[in-house]
Amino acid sequence: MSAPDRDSSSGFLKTFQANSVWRLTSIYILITTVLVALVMLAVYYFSVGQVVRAQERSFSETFLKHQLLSKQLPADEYKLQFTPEFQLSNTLSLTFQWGDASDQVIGRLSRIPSGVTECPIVSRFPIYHARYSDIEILTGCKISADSGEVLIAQNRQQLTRWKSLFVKSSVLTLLGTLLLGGLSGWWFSRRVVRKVTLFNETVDQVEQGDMTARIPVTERGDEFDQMAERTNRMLSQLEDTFETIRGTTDAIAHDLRTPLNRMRIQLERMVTHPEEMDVERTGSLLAELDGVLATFNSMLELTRLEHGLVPVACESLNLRSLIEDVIELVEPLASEHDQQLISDLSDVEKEVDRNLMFRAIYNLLENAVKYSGDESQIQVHLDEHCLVISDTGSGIPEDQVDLAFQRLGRLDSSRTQQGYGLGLSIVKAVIEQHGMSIHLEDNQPGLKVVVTL
Amino acid sequence: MKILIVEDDRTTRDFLQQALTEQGYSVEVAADGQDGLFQALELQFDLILLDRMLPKMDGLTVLQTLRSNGNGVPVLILSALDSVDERVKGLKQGGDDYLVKPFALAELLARIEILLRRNDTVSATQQTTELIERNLKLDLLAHKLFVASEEVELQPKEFKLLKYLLEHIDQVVTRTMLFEAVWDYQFDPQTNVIDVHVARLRKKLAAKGCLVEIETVRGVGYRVCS
Repeated sequence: MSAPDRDSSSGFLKTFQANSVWRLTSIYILITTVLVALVMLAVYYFSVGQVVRAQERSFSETFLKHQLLSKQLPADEYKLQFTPEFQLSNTLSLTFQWGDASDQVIGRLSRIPSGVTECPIVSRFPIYHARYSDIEILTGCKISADSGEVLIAQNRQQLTRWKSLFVKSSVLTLLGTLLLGGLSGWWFSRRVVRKVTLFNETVDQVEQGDMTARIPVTERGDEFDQMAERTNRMLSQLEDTFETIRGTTDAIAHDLRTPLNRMRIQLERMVTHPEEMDVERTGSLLAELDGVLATFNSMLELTRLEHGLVPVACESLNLRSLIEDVIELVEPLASEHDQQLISDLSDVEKEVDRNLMFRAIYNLLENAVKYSGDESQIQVHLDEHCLVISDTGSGIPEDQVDLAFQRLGRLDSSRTQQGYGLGLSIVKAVIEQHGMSIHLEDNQPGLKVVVTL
Repeated sequence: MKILIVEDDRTTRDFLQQALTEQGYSVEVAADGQDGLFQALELQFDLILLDRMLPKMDGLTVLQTLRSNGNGVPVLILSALDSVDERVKGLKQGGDDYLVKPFALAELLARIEILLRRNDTVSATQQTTELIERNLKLDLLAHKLFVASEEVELQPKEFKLLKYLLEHIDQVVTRTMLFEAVWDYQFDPQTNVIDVHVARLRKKLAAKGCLVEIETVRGVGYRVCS
């Protein structure tokens, strides 16, 4: 996000234009408004609309009746028949006038006003209410028959007021819906945008190389906090991997420089003194190069192991037969050093990756053979709880026990011994990946390696 | 025997071409995946050395296309990608062997030879019940070794070791190949432990006056010559 976007003046616009919450809210507002409008329409149809329709119906029925009868019946008979209706009609103002004199009128009005349109065209006209000294607006029309004129009129004022009241309140309700929806939408999306901005800022920081940046987590524990926690966990893991890679790179550089330098010196010597070049020398150079490659591979493998990048194919097998295989492999090495290899194994079924486990146990035994010295005794013990490999060699000083498991940690600082100090680290990585643990003990004298199954 | 080398690195390509020509193979080269695939489909080869990462067309794609065309020529994949996943991927696509760079030339030659001879070896071992070489006789059914008709005591792994070497007579066998064949575990012990086992076997054979010798091939492994 660039700086102007965070500017408060354009913040609203920003919120308005581009965020999904706002878009959702708009759709939501639209739907609500349409629903409210539909409800209003329905209410109108069944309340005001009903009254309007009833009024219109009675108006048109009356109109049809009188149109027919006023033309068919002679004036006297018509007058006689309808006088009660004319005088008593409540909802409709009916008036029959057959002359200009004041006694030539029956009905609600004293006379038919001029300017009333001929039915069925309806017009509005005012009348004066003598009793309340009030002016009323009527809506109606007249029928002109031979015997006289019939006026059918109705007071629609009340209805018109209702209508306009209804429309006004409808508009207000709709406006209110829009306003409330808009406001809440804006408020929600502002909150979301604020949260997302926090996410984005953190990602920006990480992108710029600050691996320690984390997204703040509130105590609410809502979905944003869950997401933030997850992201933070991922960042921690990334940071961890990043650190390890940096560490491995340093270690590789550190540990490979020495043999590479030796090779360089020898090669340089060959260039300046070609006469000294022979198979022996080239052979040792090649061996040195192979050593460098082996170390390099071990380091890569260790890193992969430690980070669970090596697929572990576990199968149920008897650890005893696996260890017997290892002993068979190591035995000639031990007899070269006149060492005694004693085993005491019971049958233990375990879920392990046979290749990795073989390798780990081989490394342990090989270490024992390599470092316990000539004529020592090496014991391998296996029961349900643990695997113990002990020797009667010189052991490891207590203050250096931690160092033994470290990458490239070698107790022999002169580095004349073969090996690059990765063995035990690999063993530890394998053991831990199998959910087991390993530690070193003093065998008095010698070293005791205990693997707890 | 005709071999196609598909490799984009010029130094490696030239070196391989020279080395294989010296071994008596007839060699064709391709510098990218497209050319490699074209040649492989046009001409009849006994083996293809295929680099994994190639310009124009990835090695695995070349392999896939070859196999989907019904071409079953043995393919040895050369690659700098060494993780187990990558190996499995390469072999799944129809590769016959997978060698990680950097490799020793002798190891490559050993593997080439095994791939080229594989068909013969398979049919041979299926029927054989004993292996005879000079005054040595290996009874595969009774798991016994006789030197000049006299039985020699062998440990099970020593027996397997000798059997594997004799089955691959005249071929160079690398330490890793030996280890995987005899112990049936996958990893590179990276030490001289295999050498110690071979030395012990050699001693046993020599003590009984066996005329079969296990030669050490410097920097690679072992060989028994007929």
